[in-house]
Amino acid sequence: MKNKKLIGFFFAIALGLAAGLFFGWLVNPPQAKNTTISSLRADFQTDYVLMVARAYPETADLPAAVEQLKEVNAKDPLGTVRNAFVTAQQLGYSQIDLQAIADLGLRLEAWLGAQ
Amino acid sequence: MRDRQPPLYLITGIVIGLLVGLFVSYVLLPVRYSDTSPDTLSTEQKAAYRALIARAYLYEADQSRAFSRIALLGDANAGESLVAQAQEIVAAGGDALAARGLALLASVITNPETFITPLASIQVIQNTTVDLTKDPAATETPVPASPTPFVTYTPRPTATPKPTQGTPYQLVGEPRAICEPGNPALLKVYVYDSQGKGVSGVRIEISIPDGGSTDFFTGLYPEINSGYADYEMIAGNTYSLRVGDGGDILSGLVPPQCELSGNSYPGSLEVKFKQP
Repeated sequence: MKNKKLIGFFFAIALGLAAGLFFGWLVNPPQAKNTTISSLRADFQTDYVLMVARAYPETADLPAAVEQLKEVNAKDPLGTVRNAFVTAQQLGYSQIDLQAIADLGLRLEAWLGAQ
Repeated sequence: MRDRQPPLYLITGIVIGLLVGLFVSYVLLPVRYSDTSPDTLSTEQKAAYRALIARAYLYEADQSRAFSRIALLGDANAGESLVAQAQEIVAAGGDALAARGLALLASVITNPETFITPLASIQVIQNTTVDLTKDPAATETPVPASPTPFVTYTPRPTATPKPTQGTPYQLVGEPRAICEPGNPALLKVYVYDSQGKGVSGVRIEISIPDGGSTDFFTGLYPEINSGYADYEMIAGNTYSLRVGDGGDILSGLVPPQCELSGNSYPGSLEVKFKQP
């Protein structure tokens, strides 16, 4: 009888735990807040990379540009620019915008190669 | 007749499990979001995003695009956020260009007719073209492995917008002493264009008492005037300032001595500059 109660007790805990997780993860998850640039949707990240390309147009700006790109992907800033370029093409960015992103990628590639 | 006792051990177990489950799902392992939008960014990340928008605006000079980006951040009062961040950057001696862009954007909100000239051009990179007629089999020297090259893109020549130097600003009249008891001794600078409209985003270089100089920008106080900027002076020091690039240096600026009930205190100084 005692064992039966103990099993029932743990079963009840498991049931409550499952209900709590179901509620907190699926039914009423916390609102998205305090997110990071790395979690932005691909089109927002692409615009972010375009802003970096525009805001840091000189080769001397590259270290600062890299710091900004690391907000998207700390390990692979060049990959970030590549992905942004592909997404920008898919989204139909203007020639000038594509050129700016490509220019940033080329400068970055040369700069990283020289490091 | 025997009363049926509720299975307390079951209820207790469920309550404990529920509390643990809620703790885990809300605190310990909350849902991690991906594919988010900029309005959900943390305060620090929003600031970084906003500063980048401002810098990009200075080079693109596309205010509708800049405002679309600013709108994505979901600020309740975009103008106030821009001004506050610009002031923070200036106070912290941070990215002066971002501060300038933020001030300009804030000013454009209050005066949508403001247009700026882009700071720099987009550089045209000449890509190395690949000779497709060459027989790859004829290559004798093996090429060492290299990282994946960046995607090739043939840029088109574009018109190169040139930075506008503008006519240097000239001092209008003489510096005016303002006595406001209880207020700090401010050097109040107003910068106007040739039409008499306040110009925001103008860099003002001022000598500082311990040597060297520092910059501040017009446009951080659009509620006063889009061409207004101020700097807190220290009594007993003499300052020199230059408005814009290539403007004349105005030197010998000292806080005026004001009097109230026989007591003297440092007052403010107002100077006005205008493009001829």
